[in-house]
Amino acid sequence: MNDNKVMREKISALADGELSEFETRRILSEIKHNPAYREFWRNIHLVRDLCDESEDFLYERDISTNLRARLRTDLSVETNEAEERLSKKKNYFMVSLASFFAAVTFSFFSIEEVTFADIASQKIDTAINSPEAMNVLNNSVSDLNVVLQNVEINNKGTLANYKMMNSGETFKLSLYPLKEINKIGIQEATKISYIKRDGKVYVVSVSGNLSAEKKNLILQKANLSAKN
Amino acid sequence: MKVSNKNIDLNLVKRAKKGDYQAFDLLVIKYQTRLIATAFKFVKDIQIAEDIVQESLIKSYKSLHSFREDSSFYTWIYRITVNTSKNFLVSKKRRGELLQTEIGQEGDIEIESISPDSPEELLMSNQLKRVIENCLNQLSEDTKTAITLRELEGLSYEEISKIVNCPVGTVRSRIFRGREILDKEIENYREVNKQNIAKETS
Repeated sequence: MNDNKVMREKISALADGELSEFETRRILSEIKHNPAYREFWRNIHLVRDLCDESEDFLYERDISTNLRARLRTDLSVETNEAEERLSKKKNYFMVSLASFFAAVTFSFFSIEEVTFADIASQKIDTAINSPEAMNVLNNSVSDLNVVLQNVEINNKGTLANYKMMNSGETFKLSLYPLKEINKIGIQEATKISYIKRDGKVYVVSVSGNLSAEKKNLILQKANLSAKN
Repeated sequence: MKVSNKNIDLNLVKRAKKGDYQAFDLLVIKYQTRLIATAFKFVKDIQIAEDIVQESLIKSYKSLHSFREDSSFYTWIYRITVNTSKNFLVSKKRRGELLQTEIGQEGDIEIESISPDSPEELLMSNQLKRVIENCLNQLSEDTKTAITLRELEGLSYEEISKIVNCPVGTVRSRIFRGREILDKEIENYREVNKQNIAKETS
């Protein structure tokens, strides 16, 4: 069996509660990077729901992608509030420590530095994970008859896979900060464009089996969308 | 020897409590259709039902730490969904948007069996059911038996292996083989469906 089959067999076992703790951890990290595994998990439960005649059956619905985006937004708001609280707390400690515990300030600042780094990462995370990033991508394909197949959002950027309804052509559309340009993996078929917004430069890229005209159109719309 | 859903979910719930969103995501995918069907029974509008389930799942994720692992995750999230649906109807009643017949004198809400939103949707539900049923019927006897014992009877791999007299590993492979075939059929069905929709709209 190849690796893909092995993973799928494990997903099947996970759905039946027959997987070890160690294997579960591995599966969860693999599913993150492979939407096909997630889809396999979904289909297993679709069949299960259908076999369970006590349950009413509705035509398949998938709210999981929207839910992920909502939670990301909600939780980043909470993170900002936590950040403010942390900042107030920090000021209080700074004054008291400077006055009374000079000897231990070195170790205190070591801890605080880690916290500042965390906050900085959260800020980058929030910026690139903001719903605006996904809006830019969605607006870029607004007039094309496409379906969003899956989306990968992390603190490096946003990558969405789309499919043209009429032709079945698939393509990837991504938005990254300029410093992450090496993440795009530029190939011959990739077209890129730069977007400047709020003093930061982002790279939007489109790749896949689409015509060059369509790719240009998508990039133009991405630019327009970001400027509006 | 039955493997309860409670135990299957517990592993994922524990991981989600530690902040692993992927584990929570798998629970969402597992239960979303059932939960939307539940909310739909109350609100009778598929879009609102989806919104209610989304709200319920957000609430549950944020209060996951308060979920006691001695009960089942599905029962817990089911209760949250029912309460959110009821609250929606009560607020709708306050705004005077709900017919008196939809909510009883004592606040009881009439629950009817669900019917899909539109004739197209009903057709697609039935078609998909038929596709899966046909596919199940065409599986080899060994595979069909393993899948049936697992999905209809809820037996563990070990229990199935005793019934069909073969090693646990073989049961695991047969169930997987069956699921691979079903998966392909479902994906083919979706693809054909998308193409048909595209033809109609172009």
